[in-house]
Amino acid sequence: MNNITEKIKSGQIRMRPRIVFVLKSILLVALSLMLFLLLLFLVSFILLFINPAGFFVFFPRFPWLLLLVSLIFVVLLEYIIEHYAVAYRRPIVYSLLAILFLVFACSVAMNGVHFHDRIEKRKLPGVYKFYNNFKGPHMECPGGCPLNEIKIRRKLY
Amino acid sequence: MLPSNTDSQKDEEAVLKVQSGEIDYFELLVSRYNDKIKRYGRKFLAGYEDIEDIVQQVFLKAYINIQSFDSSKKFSSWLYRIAHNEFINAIKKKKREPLPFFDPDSIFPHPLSKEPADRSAQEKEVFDMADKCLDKLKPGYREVIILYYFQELSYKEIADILHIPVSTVGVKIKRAKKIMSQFIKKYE
Repeated sequence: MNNITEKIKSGQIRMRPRIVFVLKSILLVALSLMLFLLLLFLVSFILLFINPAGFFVFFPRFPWLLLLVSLIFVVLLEYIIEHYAVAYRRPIVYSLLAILFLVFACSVAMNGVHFHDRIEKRKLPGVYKFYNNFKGPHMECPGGCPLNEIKIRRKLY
Repeated sequence: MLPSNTDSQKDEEAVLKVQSGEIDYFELLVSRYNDKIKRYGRKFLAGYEDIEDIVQQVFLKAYINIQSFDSSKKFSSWLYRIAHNEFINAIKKKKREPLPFFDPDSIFPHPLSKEPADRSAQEKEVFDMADKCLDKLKPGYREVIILYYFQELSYKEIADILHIPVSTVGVKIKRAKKIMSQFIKKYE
């Protein structure tokens, strides 16, 4: 015990200032929010490929890589929120289902307002490249096709 | 004047004083919890040589991070959480026992196993079993037995320390007792 107080009084051990913990909390919330928004973006895009009429047509070209990335994001998000009492006081399956439900519901809503069509029309550099990479090969359009073609093709099948 | 351990000052009030720079109050907190944390460490890390150093590390970490303590919460749970993390780190370093990456008991909901109204009714039986085979339990089961029976903490406090649901605490205690009694039956 004396050893502990000696180290503290001699200044060998110093307490971290409160601002460090405040910044850490802000960073954690920002990281969770960023992961959640990325998940919404990916899952809503993946959902465009799942449609009762067109699923089997798109199945071989389904964006499995994006699905895998989304699952990793879900695990990461779950890992972060397990630090909060609201999550760890309940079984993991509850928070996992809550994340999945929230992501799925928001993604369906996003697709309802044609989110990806709108974003694509803006031709933002990074995002446009993403659409070209993941949509072009699917639709056999060199250089990519506009998203509304996916819908047109779905109707055709 | 140094605050004495007999002062009726609450832990959380003492922490507020430490946070505002009156570091003598940290000595008061150390004197209140030093023996408890040592007992917890000795039981949990039975067979480890450097327990004194690990316990010292617990208090130093508590001091370094004291500004992160929210005084609306319980100081003892916060300190035990630091001790738990340090003890788990010690087990990981020594690699004597395998530790799961996540706790499988916390994945699914369990039927609510209520905390018994009178813990002393089972105490003698558990103490006898623990004497014989506490070290045979996996760390996750060993720890709940120590915190509940030896440190006399409630299910809720244990849940907050281990970051697991309250119902999982009850399930772990039940399973730990079953494993210990099976072990004793097998070898007696």
